[in-house]
Amino acid sequence: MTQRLHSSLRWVFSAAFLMIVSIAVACGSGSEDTAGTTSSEPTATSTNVATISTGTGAPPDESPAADPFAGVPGIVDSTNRAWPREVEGLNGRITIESKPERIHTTSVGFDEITVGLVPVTSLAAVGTSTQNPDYSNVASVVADLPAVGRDPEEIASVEADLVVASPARDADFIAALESVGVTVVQLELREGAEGRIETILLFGYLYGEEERALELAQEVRERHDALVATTNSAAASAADGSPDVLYMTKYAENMTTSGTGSTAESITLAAGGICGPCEAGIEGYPRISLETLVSVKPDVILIPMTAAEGEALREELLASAVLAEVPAIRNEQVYVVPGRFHTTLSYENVRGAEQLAAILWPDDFPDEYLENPPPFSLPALED
Amino acid sequence: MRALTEDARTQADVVPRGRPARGVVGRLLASVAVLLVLLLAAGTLSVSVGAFAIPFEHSLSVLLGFVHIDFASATRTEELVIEQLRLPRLLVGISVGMGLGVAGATMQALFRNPMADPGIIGVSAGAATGAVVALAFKLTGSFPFALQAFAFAGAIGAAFLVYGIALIGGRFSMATLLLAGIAISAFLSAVMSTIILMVPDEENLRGIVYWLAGGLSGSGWSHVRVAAVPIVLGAAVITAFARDLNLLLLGDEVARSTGVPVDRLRPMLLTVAAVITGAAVAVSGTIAFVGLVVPHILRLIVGPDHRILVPASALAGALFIVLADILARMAVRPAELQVGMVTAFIGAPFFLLVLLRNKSRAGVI
Repeated sequence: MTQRLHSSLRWVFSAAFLMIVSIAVACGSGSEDTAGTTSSEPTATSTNVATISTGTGAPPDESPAADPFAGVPGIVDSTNRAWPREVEGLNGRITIESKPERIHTTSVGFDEITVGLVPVTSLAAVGTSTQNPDYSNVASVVADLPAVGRDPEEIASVEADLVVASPARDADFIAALESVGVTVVQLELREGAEGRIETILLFGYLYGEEERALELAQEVRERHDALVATTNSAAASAADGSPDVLYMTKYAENMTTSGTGSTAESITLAAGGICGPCEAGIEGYPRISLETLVSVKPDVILIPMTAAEGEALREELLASAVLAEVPAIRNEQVYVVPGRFHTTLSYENVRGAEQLAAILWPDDFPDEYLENPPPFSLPALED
Repeated sequence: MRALTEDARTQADVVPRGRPARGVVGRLLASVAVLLVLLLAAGTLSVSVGAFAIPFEHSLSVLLGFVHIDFASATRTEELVIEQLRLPRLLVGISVGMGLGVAGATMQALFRNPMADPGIIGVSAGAATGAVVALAFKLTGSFPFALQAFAFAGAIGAAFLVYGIALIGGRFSMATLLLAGIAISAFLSAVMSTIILMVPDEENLRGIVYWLAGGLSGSGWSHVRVAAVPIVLGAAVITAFARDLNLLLLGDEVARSTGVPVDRLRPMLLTVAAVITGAAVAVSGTIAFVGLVVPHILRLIVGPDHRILVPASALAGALFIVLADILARMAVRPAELQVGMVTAFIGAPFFLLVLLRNKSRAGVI
């Protein structure tokens, strides 16, 4: 009897002990979660822009405390807003020791994003193309900055503490800069609306300018969403549906177009058009011949080249007897458009989409959009 | 140098052996007939396929329409595509292939080296440099065909420079010519690289990259006129001196003893080959492998007699470019690949295969 009682008590004590341990563990993990939340207390800015989607495919978090930087590709720990911080680039996981004060990027698009996020004085130098108004929307802003070429030594000479390299740069270039003590992060040039937003957020995190990044991302998002809403509505009510659009250039007698996966595709879709070359199975930026135009039969042709060269190509296309039956030629819907809106990969592509939308749906957009859609209101530009 | 001499001996050794003169005409006619038929078939295919789908009978009807035979009705657009885009492109391809094939055969004979190609005397590097200068400094719009003119001038300028160096001291030396060709090509490549690195304008840079990749897209009737005349005339001149090329293969002394004016003939043939190559490269950019592979492979098939080899190289070079262009247009239709890329893709493995087979037959491997 006593033995049975003893055995029962042993079971009761064991069960009680396991229960206490379980509760303790549960409380402990709850404390860590809370601590984590506490450490990343929502700031005013993150609350303001909590509506920005990160586009990671995860269900949207409606909580006002949601961290817009969480899930942005490249950010290792979005809760860490102190220095050093880590980012995952194409060249591996890179630690940024302190807030960068002298920045250089190797791409015009990256320079545009950078100018949108930090004061111009934070740029150590820019590439020569960034000072060319044909390709750059910030040419006038960076006109007084030193311009450097593609040589690592030349870039090292400007003593940047952070270089953001595009995928076009090879491993040797990055190794050369790293060997002289420069921190290099190689990042993707991401296409599409979500890609643009996430790139802005990643750059903001990289530069320690999260608040400004959130503001810019929000503005870009709003402009894009408003554009898509208008063009979707216009396309739905159009008797002939959405027009087929084809981008083309011609250099040294070689013509190219933009197909699936190109900047032109995302611009065209945002503007409510159909990417003609994409529909024809063309991918990337291949060479074409005039025959391709006859085959694709675009309603609108866009030529993102400099004014003089673009105009020469436009005249050539309009004068071609072979193309006479192509709708874009027959209706003289051939436009020379600035490459800085349409080919330089940055959030400025939204302006390119607005310009194309004004061409495709002239009744729905003011005339000024045909020439120069309104610029983004950037604090750095206002400085 | 020793390798060159050995190659020359090897080449010279095979010239007269087992090739009776009475059979030359027959073999020439047979070779030309076979290659012409193949070229005709490839040409017909070339005008029938492309980004814009045209039924074969419609293509054929447009072609036969030139000889006033009508049996099917092509649409106006189909007619225009064939007449204004595909036919000139085909003819430019034929001209370029013909030019590179003939120039390659000539260079291999003059250098007594089956590994020589038209680029050996700096012609290709000169043409590329001329084109790069025109594109980098925005001179392409200064007058009609400015790009082609600069490329052609570069090609001829480089050839004359190399030849001038080989003549220094009053005595011509093939070895010096070869070494000067290598040196000038390297120098011009450095000039090109420097210009490319300094080009601030992205559009010009793209133009340079595209031109250097070589291609036939954008060829029109004006390009046919620019390329065909010097190439066909040059090929005719070299064919006329084909017998002398055979004798040059046996060595200068032997050639002189049979009445060949070696000192005048060699520079003349070099100049003609340079003009042909310059004209070809000017309209197509640098297309690799044709000048090297085509004569070399044909030599294994029709023998080393230049009375057969030169015209056969012309036709086979044309055939090779036409087929490569068809592949370039069809592989990623309705987009295109660079013809130069296709020639290298096909040419290099095929060349290696033939070499290995030849060695295997000779019992070397």
